[in-house]
Order: sequence, then C-alpha cells, then structure tokens
Amino acid sequence: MGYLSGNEALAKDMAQEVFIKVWQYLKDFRGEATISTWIFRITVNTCLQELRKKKTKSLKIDIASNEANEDPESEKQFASMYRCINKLSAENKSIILLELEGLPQKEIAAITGLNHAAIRTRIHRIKDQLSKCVKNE
Amino acid sequence: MNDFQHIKEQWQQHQTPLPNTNINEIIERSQEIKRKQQITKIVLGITVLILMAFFFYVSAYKNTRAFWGLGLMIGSLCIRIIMEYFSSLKKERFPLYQNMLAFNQQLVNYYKSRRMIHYLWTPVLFASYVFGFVLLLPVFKQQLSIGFFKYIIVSSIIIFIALAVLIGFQVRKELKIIKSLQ
Repeated sequence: MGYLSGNEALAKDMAQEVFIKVWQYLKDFRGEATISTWIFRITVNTCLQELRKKKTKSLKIDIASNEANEDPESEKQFASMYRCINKLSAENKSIILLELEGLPQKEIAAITGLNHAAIRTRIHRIKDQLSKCVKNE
Repeated sequence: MNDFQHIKEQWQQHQTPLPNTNINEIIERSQEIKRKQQITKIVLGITVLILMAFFFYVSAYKNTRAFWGLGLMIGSLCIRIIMEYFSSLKKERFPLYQNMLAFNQQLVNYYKSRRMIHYLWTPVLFASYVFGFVLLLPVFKQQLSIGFFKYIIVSSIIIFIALAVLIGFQVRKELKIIKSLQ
C-alpha cells in the first residue's frame, strides 16, 4: 500500500503480481535466506520494477476502503503519511516501508543487501526526514 | 512517544486489504504468461518468414536496385525486432529474489547497455531502412501511377517523422529510468 500511496485496487493487483512471481521462482529457492526474506525480496523488487514502468503517471492519493469507518482526522494523517513516503527515493521508500511493517533491521539488511550498520544509520535518517515531513504537512 | 513511533503504530493498526486471489488463479495466470511468451516467439518467427517470403515473391533478387532496397528495409527491421526481443528476454531473466541493491545494479547495467542500442544501433538501422526506401523510389515511380507514387512519398515522410519522434520518446523514457535507478 505504501508504494502506491494507499491505492487499494493497484495494491491488490501488485500483490497478485507478487504471488505469481513467487510461484514462478519457487523452484529456485535454495534456502540460503529464510523464506520470508526471499518473498520480501521478490515483493520489493517487483514493486520497484512496476513503479518504474508507471512512473509517468502521477500517483493519486486515495485511501483504502477499510478506512471508511475511520475518522476524517486519521484519514488526513494517512494521506499526509503516504505523500511523505512518496517523496523519498525508491531505495529509502523500500527501507522505511519494511521498518514500518515491523521487520527486524537484520532482515531489512538481508532484503536490501546493505549491511546492518548501514541500515541502522539509513533508517535513523529516514525516520527524521519522515517525521519532519508529516509534522509539516 | 516520539513522532516516528506514533507513525509506526498508526501504520501497523491500519489493516492491509488482502487480494481475493486463490492458488488456482495464480497458477492459471502464470501459465497464461508462459503461453503469451510462446505466442510472441511464434508471431516474431512468422513475421520474419512472411517478410522473407514477400522478398522472394516480388522477385526482388532479380533486380539489383529492388534487391538492395527491399533487402535493407526488411533486414534492418528484422535485426531491430530480434535485438529488442533478446533484450527483453535478458531483463526477464534477472532473478527477482536477489537483494534489492544487486537487482538494482543489474537493472542499471541493463539500461546502460541499452544506450548502445538507442544511440548506435537504432539510428544506423533507421537510416538503412530509410535508405532502402529511397533506393526503391525509382522502382515505384516506374511501376506505379503518379498519384499513388506521390501518396507513397507523402505518407512515408509522415511515417518516418512519427517513427523518429516515437523512438525519441522511448529513449528519453529509458534514460529517465536509469536516472531514477542511480
């Protein structure tokens, strides 16, 4: 959802695309990483690849339907969160979305290919950037 | 609680909608993709065969000018189609399960190698295609009515300009992708 500014329909399409890729590559899984890391890698790479193809289209900020019950203030906050995430570089966007999902930094390092220390520093920097952006929105 | 912690908590409370896909649909889509790839190969093969058959049908090999004209046009078109096909095949083979940095690097190298196609091969092949057409003009003039000959010249100029603009847009798009990857 974070990659697509909360656009639920596009997120569902992308999720289906990821499932198909996982199915296609399953025979190549050698157990060198955990299955969750392996699936997250496919997810991150698929999202980045698809976003590049659609780069020319401006992403519409559109909040998912399950938020229909939420109060307008929360909706507004989510919209600004998506806008701020969208301002980050593609790599930083992936890293912070994994952090927001609550993944351990060690796993984020394995998914992205950066070392643990670099991830820690990078996350710290993006956190500041994102917090400031959300505050100023 | 700091600002980011607040954002994170909100994020995690937010339910992510699940796609309504079952395993059979995924298998079906996956097989459909493979089928489409097979169809592309067949269509490409047939296109090349039809172009070659057309070349022999018009007995172009008997007339030197028509031979070179048609040969250049068909040849450059076939070479470009085959180049594009193999290039896209190469990209599809990049394993998506490698880490993000390695995958990104592979994509950067791929798009950089495509600059060679865009800046060298495409202009050369495009020029030889146009040159082949120019070689054919006297043959057209000899065998077609004045009106139809003029129509061919005007329409081909429009087509060549449109093609050059289209190629230019595509190159610009790919250069933007390289920039976004770095």
